[in-house]
Amino acid sequence: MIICEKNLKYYALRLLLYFVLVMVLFSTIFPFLIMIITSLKQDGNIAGIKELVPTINFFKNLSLNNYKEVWKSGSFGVYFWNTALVSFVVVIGNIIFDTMAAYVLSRKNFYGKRMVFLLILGRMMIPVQVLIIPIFVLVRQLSLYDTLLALMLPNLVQGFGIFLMKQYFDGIPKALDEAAIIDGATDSQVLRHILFPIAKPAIAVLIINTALTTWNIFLLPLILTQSADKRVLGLGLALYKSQFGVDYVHSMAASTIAVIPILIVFLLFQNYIISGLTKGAVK
Amino acid sequence: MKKLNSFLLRLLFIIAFFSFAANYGLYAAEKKIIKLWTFWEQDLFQDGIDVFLKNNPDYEIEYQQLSWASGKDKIVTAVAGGAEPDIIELGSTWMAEFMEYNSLADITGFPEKEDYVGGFESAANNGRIYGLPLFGSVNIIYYNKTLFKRANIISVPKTLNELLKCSEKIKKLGNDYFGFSIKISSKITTWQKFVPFLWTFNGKILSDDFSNVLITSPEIISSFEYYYKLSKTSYIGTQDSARQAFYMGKLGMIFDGPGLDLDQKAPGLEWDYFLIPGLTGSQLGKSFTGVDYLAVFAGSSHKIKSVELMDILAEKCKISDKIKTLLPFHKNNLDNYLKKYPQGFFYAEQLKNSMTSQPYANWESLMEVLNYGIESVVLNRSPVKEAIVKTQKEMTDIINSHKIQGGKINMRFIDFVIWGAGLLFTLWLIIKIRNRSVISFLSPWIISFILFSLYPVLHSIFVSFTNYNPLTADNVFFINFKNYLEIVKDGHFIAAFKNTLIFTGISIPVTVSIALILAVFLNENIAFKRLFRASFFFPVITSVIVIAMIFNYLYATFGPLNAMLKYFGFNEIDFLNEPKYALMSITVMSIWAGFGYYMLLFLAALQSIPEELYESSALDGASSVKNFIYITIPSIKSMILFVIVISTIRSLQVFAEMFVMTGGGPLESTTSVVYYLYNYGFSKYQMGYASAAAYILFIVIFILSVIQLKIFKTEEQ
Repeated sequence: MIICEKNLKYYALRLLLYFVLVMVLFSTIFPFLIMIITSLKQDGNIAGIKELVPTINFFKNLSLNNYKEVWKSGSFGVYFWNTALVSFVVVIGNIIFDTMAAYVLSRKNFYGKRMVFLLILGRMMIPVQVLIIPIFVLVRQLSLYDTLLALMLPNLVQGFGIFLMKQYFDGIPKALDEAAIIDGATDSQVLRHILFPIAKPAIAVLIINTALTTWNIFLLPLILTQSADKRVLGLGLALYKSQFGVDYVHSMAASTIAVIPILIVFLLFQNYIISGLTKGAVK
Repeated sequence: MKKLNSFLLRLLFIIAFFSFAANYGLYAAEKKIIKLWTFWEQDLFQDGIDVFLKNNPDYEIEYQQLSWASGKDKIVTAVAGGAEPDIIELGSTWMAEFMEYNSLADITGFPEKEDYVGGFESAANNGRIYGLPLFGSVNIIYYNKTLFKRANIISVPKTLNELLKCSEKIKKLGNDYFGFSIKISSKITTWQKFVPFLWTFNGKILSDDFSNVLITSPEIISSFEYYYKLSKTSYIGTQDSARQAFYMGKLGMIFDGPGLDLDQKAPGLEWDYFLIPGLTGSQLGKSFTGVDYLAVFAGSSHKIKSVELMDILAEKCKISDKIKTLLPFHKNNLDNYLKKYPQGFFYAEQLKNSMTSQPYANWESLMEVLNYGIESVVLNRSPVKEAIVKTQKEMTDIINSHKIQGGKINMRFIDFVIWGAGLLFTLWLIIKIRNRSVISFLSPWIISFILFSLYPVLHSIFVSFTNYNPLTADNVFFINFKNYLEIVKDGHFIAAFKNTLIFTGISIPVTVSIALILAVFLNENIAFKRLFRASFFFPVITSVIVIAMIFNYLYATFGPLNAMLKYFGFNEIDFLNEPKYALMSITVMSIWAGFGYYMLLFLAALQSIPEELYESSALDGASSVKNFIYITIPSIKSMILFVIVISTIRSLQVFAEMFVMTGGGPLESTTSVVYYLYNYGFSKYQMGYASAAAYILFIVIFILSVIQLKIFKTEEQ
């Protein structure tokens, strides 16, 4: 904090804090390491704890073969680009449409506001397992069956994003945009030029979350697509687990490839979360 | 706003265009297409497909590989939506279900039955044939030669009694060693590994006409008692953990099939196998075989050509080359196989002495009851007698529960009403909102709501009042509140509900507080905070499947966590196989996988707190803790509300963790509400019942969320 009492107690607490943080860090990184090391192995087994301490012999046995095989097998490249395309479109859709709905839910008063809000929330509370048959029927009626559009369109605006942005807007003092409205700004100007820049941390969260969920999308493509050239990564990864066992090394190699884009999205956008843009904006 | 409206208009136009293009694409297809869905890579069938296409140049084959864990969901959905493929690969229990609901085409007399060595038992109904047997799996007993030597066992057991003695001898080698393996916590494995003993004792679960449950017969009681005795010296756990223990040389014997991968996973192990022994030395015991069939759907428009293709595929497929313990049923294929692999004769011998499930349509429901019975006996929850009586009663209930009362419904009419009512409601809402700019800002959501939410939600609500079965979607009866009343009374639902509440009650407070505290720390001036932030997010981006694999390894009986406990002098814990700990183990995993996510949300919220607030409080000399309570928390209250509501919604719908880790077991200790309803909808085809369970859960979540919203609102004012 601002005032630092530099005494023994302070340093002891700091030390404890670092200790805790480092412990948590180890617990979160270690499965990731197991995944990567397994993906480099040749013998088909999951990497054990002992193998996390590298030896010379251990390095000899590592190779990128699994990655080569994964990329060549089936149409992994196609799955990858399909997923990227769907994720990109869905993320863009959510940035625009979620903030629009969130804006009126946070800033306007209108008849049925509470009902609209509860409808948005309520839709998230129904287990998707009982919805997939009617969704399947619906998508076929709309002639969207076995198209990537069937994976994009239903997700362009999502309750999660609307709720997230509404809550974030609620936390921003209304004084800012009320002043702008008095100066003659329209709603869309207020949203675009005032709230949007302040809400950058939340937008970044929205992007990371939407990219993450769309990247791992599974149930919708499972039922709504069938041809291999419409397949997405989630389905491709599931095929490594067969009736009679799991192909560990290849599935871990495929998972590692699949994680990279999400990691990049996270690293890029986490800067916006932390940049502290509101400093001095509200006085 | 004009810009926006024209954008939306364009979007609609694009949708319309693509719909048109897709339709055109469908109708423009000239070649006749046969859709083929199996659980294997296409390579294994390619030879057969090539032969067929050479003979039939005007045909095309659309191949689809299904994943094992979720393939059935896809099949059921396709049948319900009237978009089933032509040819499908089905296991023996599924065959019975699909035959019962008249989903499959009758292929009696074609092709020649003589071309096959057998395997038609589960594909026959009233003398008619509905599928071609593709392969049968061989289950035999593998044993660890080293342990046998150490326990002074000279020859492999010839009778079940000798098997028991062998197991006892090996158990005496030490606490870490087990004689045999009892597999639990799986909808499939638990009963499949038990029924061979039941059959060897000459027991039979259902009478031949499926009208009586024979669980209380003396044969079955003795088989239960035998299994209980065997369990005393056996390793008890999931299939994966039992295999892991066998690979590590801790198990004397394991009863297993095609999934056991000894060459790859345990290269140093000295092992061999023997056939399951009988009651006396003079005859062999009965093993279990899972037979997979190729079948044609009744709705296919290329039935004759499909059967031709199936016949060729059964002759040419190379599945047995890939997995040696899957034996082909087509004569030529089997001959080729036996020429290449002489040990196949041994497998064929066991297959001859194998049986498969009885072709009763509700077999999976019966087996769920049997699984519970087996688990309660081997986990010492109830004595054999008690478990038997309970199993008999629940199975009898299932057999007698076929009567339907109520009025038959025309689903097309209902769909019409649903659309009409839904659209009227939306129109009313739009008119009532009245405010133009509000409507235009909400329009993307409204369009998406009408197109993609209205029908599925209303349809599923309606279905919850019917006996809707996805395989017979034309034959629907309205049964009022019967589903709801039955669910509330069902002990299994109450157990699942309790599990879900425990999971939610522990995971939310712990996850949210860890996330909040870490977020506050990482918002301070701390060295390497970027590194910490990124690494705490790692579990969130790792897929559930990978997390499950890794935690399975960590939690294993002989895994690293137990090694650590042992090192520090604690008792070892069977994290996933002991009902007491299984739910807690999954909760811990879920907390670990989720806190980074909520931390990120809190970090974003912390950015909106103006620095000035802290500066002024610093002048007053407030401590960090006071700052946290009086400034930080009130300032991010709306985000805390968001996190609590969202995590409540998600935790109460927990499913994936249980699905990939424990399959709801052992003894239903990790069955969540969504797992329960998923099981009803897609394994037992009672989608009406599943929907009713879903809406009971919905009501609970809705009430909780409204309470949460209310609490935060009153504090605000």
